Amino acid sequence: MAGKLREVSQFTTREKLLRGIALAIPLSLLVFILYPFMRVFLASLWVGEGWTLALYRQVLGAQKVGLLWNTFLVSVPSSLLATLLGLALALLVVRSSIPGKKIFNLVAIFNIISPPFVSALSFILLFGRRGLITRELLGLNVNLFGWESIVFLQTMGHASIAFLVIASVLRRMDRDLENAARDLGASNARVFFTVTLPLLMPGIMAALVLSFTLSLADFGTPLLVGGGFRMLASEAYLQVIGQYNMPLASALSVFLVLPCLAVFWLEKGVLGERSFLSEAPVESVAAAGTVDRGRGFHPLVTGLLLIIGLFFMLFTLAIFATIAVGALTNIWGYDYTFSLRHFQDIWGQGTRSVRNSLYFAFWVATLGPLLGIITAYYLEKSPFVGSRFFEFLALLPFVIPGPFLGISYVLAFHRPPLALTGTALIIVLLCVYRELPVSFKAGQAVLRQVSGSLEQASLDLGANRWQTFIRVYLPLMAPAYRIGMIHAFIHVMTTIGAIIFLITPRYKVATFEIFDATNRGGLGQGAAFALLLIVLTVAGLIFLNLLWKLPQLKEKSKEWMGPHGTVPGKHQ
Amino acid sequence: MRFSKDAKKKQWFILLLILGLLAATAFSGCAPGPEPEGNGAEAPVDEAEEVDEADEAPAAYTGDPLQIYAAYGGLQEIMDAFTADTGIPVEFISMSSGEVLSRMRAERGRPLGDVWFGGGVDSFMVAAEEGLLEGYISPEAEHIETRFKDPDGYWTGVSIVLVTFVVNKDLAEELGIPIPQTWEDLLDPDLQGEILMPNPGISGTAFTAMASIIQRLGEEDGWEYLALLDENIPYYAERGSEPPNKASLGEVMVGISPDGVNAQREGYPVEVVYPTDGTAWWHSPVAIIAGTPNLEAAQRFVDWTLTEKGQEILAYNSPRPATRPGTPIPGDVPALETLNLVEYDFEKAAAERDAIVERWQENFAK
Amino acid sequence: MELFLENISKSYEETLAVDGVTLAVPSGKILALVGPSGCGKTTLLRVIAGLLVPDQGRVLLDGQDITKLPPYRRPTATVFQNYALFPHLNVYENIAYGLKARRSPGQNTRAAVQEIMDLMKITDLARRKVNELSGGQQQRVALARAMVVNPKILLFDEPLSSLDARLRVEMREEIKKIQQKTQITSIYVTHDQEEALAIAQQVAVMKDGKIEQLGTPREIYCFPETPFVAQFVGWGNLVQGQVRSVNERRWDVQFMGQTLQLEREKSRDLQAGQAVHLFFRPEDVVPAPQGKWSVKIQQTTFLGSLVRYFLQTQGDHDQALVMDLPLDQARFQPGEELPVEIIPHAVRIFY
Repeated sequence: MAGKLREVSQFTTREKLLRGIALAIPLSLLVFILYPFMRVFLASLWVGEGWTLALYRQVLGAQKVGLLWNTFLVSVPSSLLATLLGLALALLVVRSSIPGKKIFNLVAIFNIISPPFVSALSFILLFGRRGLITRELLGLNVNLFGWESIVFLQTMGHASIAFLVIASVLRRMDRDLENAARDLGASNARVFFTVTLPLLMPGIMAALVLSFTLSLADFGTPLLVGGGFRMLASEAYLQVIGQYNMPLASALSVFLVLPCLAVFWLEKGVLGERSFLSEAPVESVAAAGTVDRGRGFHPLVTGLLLIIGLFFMLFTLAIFATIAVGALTNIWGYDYTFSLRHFQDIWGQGTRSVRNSLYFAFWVATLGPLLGIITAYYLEKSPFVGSRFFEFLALLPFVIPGPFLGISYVLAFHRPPLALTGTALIIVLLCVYRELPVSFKAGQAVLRQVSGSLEQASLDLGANRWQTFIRVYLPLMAPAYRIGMIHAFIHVMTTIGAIIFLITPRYKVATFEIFDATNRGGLGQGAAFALLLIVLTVAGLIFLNLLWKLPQLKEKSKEWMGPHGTVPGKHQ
Repeated sequence: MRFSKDAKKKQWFILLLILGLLAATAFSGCAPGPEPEGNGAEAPVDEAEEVDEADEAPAAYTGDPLQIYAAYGGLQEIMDAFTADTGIPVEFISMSSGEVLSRMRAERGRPLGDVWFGGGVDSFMVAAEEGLLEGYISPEAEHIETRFKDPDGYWTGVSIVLVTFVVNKDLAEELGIPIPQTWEDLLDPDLQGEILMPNPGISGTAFTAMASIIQRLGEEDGWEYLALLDENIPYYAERGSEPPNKASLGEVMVGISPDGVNAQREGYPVEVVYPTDGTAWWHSPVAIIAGTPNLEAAQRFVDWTLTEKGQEILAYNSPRPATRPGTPIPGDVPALETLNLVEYDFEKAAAERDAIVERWQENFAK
Repeated sequence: MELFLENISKSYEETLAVDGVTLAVPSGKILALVGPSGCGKTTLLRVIAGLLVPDQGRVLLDGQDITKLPPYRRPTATVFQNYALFPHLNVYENIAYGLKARRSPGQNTRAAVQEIMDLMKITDLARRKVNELSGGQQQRVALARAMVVNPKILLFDEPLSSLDARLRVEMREEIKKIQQKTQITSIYVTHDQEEALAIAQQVAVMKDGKIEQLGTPREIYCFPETPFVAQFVGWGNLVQGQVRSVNERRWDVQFMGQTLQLEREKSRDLQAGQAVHLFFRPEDVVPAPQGKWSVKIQQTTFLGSLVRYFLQTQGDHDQALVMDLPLDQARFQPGEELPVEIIPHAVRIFY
């Protein structure tokens, strides 16, 4: 194979291709991130014939200014609590000595794939006035509608993402730093607060930013359990659906995105240079950091973490069980006889939407991360004037609330030269660029761990840049690709906020069907869609994971077949 | 050693990519294409048979599937029936009137939808005024009462939407409150916190209900009534679907909602009340979106919804009275004659809309 | 302050990292734990620091059992591999960390930190971030941080492994000097035998979780007790042989086709006909006109004061040997054949 790669004619085309990609990457960031972004600002400032701040005055006026306050009243505590819960779960899974703690990993993944709307309905059925738990079990008569419920549901919903972010930092932390502190005479509590926590700050901040953004973007939960409590995202959504007021929705979205940008800058500014991750390869850190079970947390702390973890697990499982019950019984909440009627109801249009979901998720999951790692490669390995700005652009979708992104794409891509609305392409593009930060960041992290000498070595050995990229960098970035792939798959399967404004009769997706069914009062149908979506997402994840494990399986089979394979250098 | 391991990884990575792409291409085989699924695919066959019999029917339909923005219930069944009758495949998406309107505005000049099916007549009026609709007087429209159709044919009413009380019977029994039969009954202090109604700024249902009350009782008494009703309403819902859903689940006793029959059909223990002191209503129209590239098929859809057969299918799948007199309706839908419909002036309501919503916001927005 | 390890064992999941180690660390001295990676030396160090709890055995400090004592109650301080400096703190804060953890009054802390920074010549770096420091500077900070808490036992975990060769030698002399000055009992873990021999007064060679040999650097180098120690410490030649005959004073051992007369060791008993291994250092192979063995030079390596020759014996026994010659005697070229002799009293016998 290597010989064929070296054909001279291919050399030049490939070099050209590389250069073409090098140009295309920044260009695409400008077109698909910056341009739509600017269009929203434009739409909120240019009304009719002239520039005006009238919309902003309206938003800040007496009627709507409460929205801002409401939004912060919910988003600040919910993101703080979600991060705290995520931190507790991360400590439980990564650091405690509880046997079987890995199950919380699974619970977190499940929690992430819980579909929108239906989870909130399950919550009502479990904890509402006629709730199975509040009324049947505890005999309470509660009114759960209000901002507290929004905070609670968002906390539970976003904790798993906070958990994944924090846990990955915690896993990569050099445990000898904590050992050193302990060794110098710091008690466990002191080590935690003076070493572990400060070192976790980048992860905690990232989790905070992420859950804050998610909370701002969430328009479903306030609508379902807010009990009339109005927030920016739901108001922006209602401005579009109820008042046909795109300019005002744009202005509201600007208020959604500004705090996100502020938090983003804050995170970069305060913690930008402080990355405390160990630079050694992950495996060796793990080995050096072996710490004894006997030297884990204080039993009280372990107990507390376990209670938190179990509460999180039970809540997630209860929500899922309730969804399954809703999908498979006659009348959700009233008649619990087994029935497949909801599945019969959704069969015709449903299969189509579900297939659309899978189709989008699959394309975005395979292509998106590729774009992410290639972008990371170009911005890291061949920096040019303004590449910091492009890095900012690549990370920007991370903090843009979904509805803002959706509105921006509608505004930007309806008219020529890029009249893309109504196509499947625009949905795929939107999702690809929305997922970009995940694989971009992961790819960047990998590249920063790789010394430049690797590239030198490869070039010295006679490989050109193309070969270096294909043979050295792509394989190295495979883990980043994988992270992006899994993240994108889950996200595209379960998202609604960003694409609700872009879907057309032809390209309906399953989450939209859930939204629509619950809108029509077809709660059982909504649950059926949700269950289908959960099952397919899990199946898709298993499939993607199998694809990934294939090399290992192959290796194992080679070992069985004997050493006639071509694998060199496995002498240990 | 490190290098050879990487090289091996690389091979796998490339293989994986190829596999992925292959799988994706395989996927795209059954990807959302223009040809409709299942029921739709069978339809042309049916039609081919029918063509021989019915001479006036055109040759088998070869155009793009009709794109329909719909704010209507029972869509799958209705569209299947239409395709079976005409051979025209349909793709639809259900949205609220407001969303349809904002989409049509965004898509002006390059519409992605062909037909707007169902919703509040007030939104259709706005759309017609803004030039977003195509005028078309269907030959079937002559059977529709004049008050249910636009004289210029921008829209034609296909059914009557009734504003109902969805009352949870279990909860009523538990609370010992008789099921309210009139708007007046809703003022019962026992119902405090038990009535849910959408925000009229968002929901056409709520606006029509309120405007009906004001038109019925007169300016002064109307607002006084709304103030009294407000005492019993814990908050105004942000979505039209919230009141009936919450009444169904027993979170509140009364949800003010159009098409209450849906909750009943879903199986929840609710009673649908058509208030005897004045049931608010509007007609739900069908219209052709201006600039559609698929005009002929769109016209055939409009025609079909107004035929006797189409009207019957509509009435059965989305439980509402029909606009074409003499159309059979299902048992759980009341005949129009049995109801005390409000004498409602749509023009007046539209003209006063902003003032009403603003006054409401000032007084009752919580 | 005498440290005594009694029958310590520790395993991770399935692998036994430390296997019944008993070891006395002499007070005020440096003891080096040396061995290949995975031999259990770092595990043993962490058991002493209290970061790991042994599965069995006791750690005694001046006769007091501290096995169960958490690390922060132990009078030990560790200099970690890669230094483990706190990246979120500056140099001063890093050094002061241990004192603050021990709630030392602010004034004392400042004074103590200042003193140790002066001693380590890093006063100028006080306000620097640790990731702005060079490897040598980081090493000094790490040492200062460990020493400032006035530990009874100082533990070094491969502290010099990430420095370049020259700096490594400088730092090791510095550590030695400081230790001699402070007389803190120290345990020094390294995989580099040269470093171990250079820095320590006592060396323990470890293999597979056990101590193979404990002794002074000289004993370890000159009198290795096992073939493993012999080969691990310094260069050497290990060949197979057979005992031909045994008498009161001598063993006649045949190897590489020739017989060498060796002085009999009183403590050991060999039988005629017994198969043995013989070990001798490169400097114990010398060119001699009447040498028993004829060798051919394969390759030479210039080492400054020495030249190292890689040899092949001629004849039936095709054995590779290494020979070191002082520069003034090194006049042979690759391909040359010459007779050599092996100095009998330098040969160690293993069986």
